[in-house]
Amino acid sequence: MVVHEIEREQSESMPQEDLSPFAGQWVAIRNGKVIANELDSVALRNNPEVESDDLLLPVPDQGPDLLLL
Amino acid sequence: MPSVELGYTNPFGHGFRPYLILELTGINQASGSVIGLLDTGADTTALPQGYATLMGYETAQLDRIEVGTAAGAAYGWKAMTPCTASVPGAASVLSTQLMPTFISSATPLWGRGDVMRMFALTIEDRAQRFTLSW
Repeated sequence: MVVHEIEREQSESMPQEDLSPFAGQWVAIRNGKVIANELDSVALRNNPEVESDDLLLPVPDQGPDLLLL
Repeated sequence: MPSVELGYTNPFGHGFRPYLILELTGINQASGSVIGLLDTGADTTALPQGYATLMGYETAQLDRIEVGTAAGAAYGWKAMTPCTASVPGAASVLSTQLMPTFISSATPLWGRGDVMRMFALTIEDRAQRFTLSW
C-alpha cells in the first residue's frame, strides 16, 4: 500500500508540461500543471492563485550539457 | 524489506535524472513538496536560497559556511535548527529531520548524510531508474 502511495505521489506531483518558458523564475505546480509564476519565492507564495499544498520550485536556466554537482 | 522502484524523470527538460519529490516542513510549520536530485556526492542536503524564507528561516538562524562544489568553493547558509523531510505517501515510515544548507543554485540536492539515511538507495543508470528500500 505504501509503495503504491509513493508511486502515485511521485507521478502526480511531477511537472507534466515544458517548464523552459519559466527559466529563471519560480513556478507553482498543481496536478502537474503550472498555475502561477513569479520572479522570487516570496512573491509566488503570496500570489493569491497559489495554495498551500502546491509544489513551489525554481526553474533552472538552460541547463548545461553535462551536470557535475 | 519494502522497496519502491521509480524511473528517472526530466522535469526541467535538461535530461533524465534521479529526481525525487519530498515533503519539507519548515521551522514555521509551513509544508510543501520539493523536487530534488538524489546526489550521492552531496554530504548533506542543499536547497536554493529562496526556500529559506518559505521555511521560516531568518538570517540569525543560519550559519555562513564554505561549501565545496564542482565549480569551486562557494558560500552557503546552513540551518542551525532542523526542518522535517518525508517521502509523500509514506511519511509514517520515511521521515527525517535535517539541517539544509541554502545555496545559490536552482536545483535542490538531497544529501547522503540526511535524506539518504531514510532508505537504502540503488541507482541503475543503465535502466534509468532507482530504488528506495527501507
